[in-house]
Amino acid sequence: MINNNRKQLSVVRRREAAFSEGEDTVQISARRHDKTTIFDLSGDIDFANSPEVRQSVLREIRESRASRVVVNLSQVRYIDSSGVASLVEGLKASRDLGSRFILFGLSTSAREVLQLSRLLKVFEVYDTEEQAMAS
Amino acid sequence: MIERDPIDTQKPEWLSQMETVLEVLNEGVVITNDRDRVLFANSRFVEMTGIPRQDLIGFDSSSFYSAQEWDFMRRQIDLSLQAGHNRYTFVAPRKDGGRLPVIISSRRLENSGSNFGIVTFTDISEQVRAEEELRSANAQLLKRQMEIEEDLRLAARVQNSLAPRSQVWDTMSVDAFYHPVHSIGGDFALVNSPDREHVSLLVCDVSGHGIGSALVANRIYSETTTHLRSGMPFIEMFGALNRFLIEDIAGSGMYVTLAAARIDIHRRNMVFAGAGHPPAMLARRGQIPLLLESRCMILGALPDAVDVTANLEVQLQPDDRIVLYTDGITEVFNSRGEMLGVEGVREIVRQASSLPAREMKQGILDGVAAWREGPPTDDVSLMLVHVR
Repeated sequence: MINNNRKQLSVVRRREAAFSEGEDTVQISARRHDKTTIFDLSGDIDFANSPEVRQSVLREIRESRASRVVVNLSQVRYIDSSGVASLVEGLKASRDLGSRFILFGLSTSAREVLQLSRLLKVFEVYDTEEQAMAS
Repeated sequence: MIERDPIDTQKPEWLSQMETVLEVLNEGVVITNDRDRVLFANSRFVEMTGIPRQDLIGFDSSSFYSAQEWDFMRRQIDLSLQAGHNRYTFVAPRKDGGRLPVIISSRRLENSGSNFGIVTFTDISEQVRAEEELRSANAQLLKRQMEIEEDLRLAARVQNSLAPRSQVWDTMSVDAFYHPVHSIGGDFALVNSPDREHVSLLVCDVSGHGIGSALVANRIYSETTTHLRSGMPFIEMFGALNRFLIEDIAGSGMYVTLAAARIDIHRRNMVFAGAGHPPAMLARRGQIPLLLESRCMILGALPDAVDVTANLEVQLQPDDRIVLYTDGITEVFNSRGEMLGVEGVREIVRQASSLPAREMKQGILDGVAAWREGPPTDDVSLMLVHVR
């Protein structure tokens, strides 16, 4: 059972890309279940907000020292190379602490970006949260 | 010595009753009669101006201001008379001749057939000082911003000087395009021809945009140029770059993807290798482009990024076109939020491969722009090789 220990790590942030208009946001929250920390990410993860994602994820990994870190990307449409870099940082930090770092719910474009980076095989990737939690 | 008329010091009864209340206010208060003579000034006003009460009572208000100041005050008093009240920003006189920034609120009161002016003075010197400090800080920021922009313009010129120019050989030509989303970026492409028989091509993308990425990109440019000139095999070059990124700029959170090709011009033979980079494409007229995929992962992330079987060998044919690019080409979205992706670019390249070689680069860029909603949000590099 997943408890309600949900922690809002970062709230909506406005992206002001050099030429683009509109508002892209990323939301990050963390849930803890036994020795697992689950990050729920939503929005696009790109150059504008990936430092925030990286900082939040790394801080939580180091503070919680969970044996398993699970990242929910089911509400993430797109990850650019900066976002991929943030996930790699999370993976490395988890490995340093002896934790597993698991992704689930990748969109088609996020999967393609990870595939092109040849990183898909480096991460543990599952389709659903149930599969990730059962792994 | 200015003489005071005793009538100008006589307080009406209502004022005598109000004095106690007016004394405890935090704002300066002055009451004048219909000849603009000061009948009353509270302690706060005396404190604000430093003018003793005996030098205020009975005196003409205009005597505390310069002629130019009083012209302004006179117009405000007239407005107050017309409207019954007025509020404006001005100054209060100080005994030392200085001026205190204030907001003046005036109201006209009629009592027993006489007109009186009730004027309050709110000290805004702190606000004005803060505004001046803000203006000064803004001016400094603007100056600093202009300096940074000038630095960036210079950096952009330096980086643009690294962009490959179109080159033509007997049996091959290279056409290149580079557009950073900011003034400088993390993409670069290079063409290196150490002798008349070989050409090395490389397209590189450092994660992120801006100054940090550009600095890393310039460093990688130097490293790769040296390695390519020496004829170092790609696998060794990728390994050296991976070690450099992990050991020398560890913790920066910056990673590098790249695609490299070395072509033997006369034998029309190409060796290709990629690291975490979108696949290069070999386009032949009327055929679906062949994808030349990366076998190594992005560099700078993990020590075992380089696959020893990374090299692909391709025999080229006349009129072959080789397309190398960065993810600013593939990771573009249409109005429905759909990413163009590799397959989308592949289709654009297929269509553009039927164009004359000199028009193909623009055909690809136009196809990508037609898919993309809005202007580019990522650095874009594109290099097109035409085998003659």
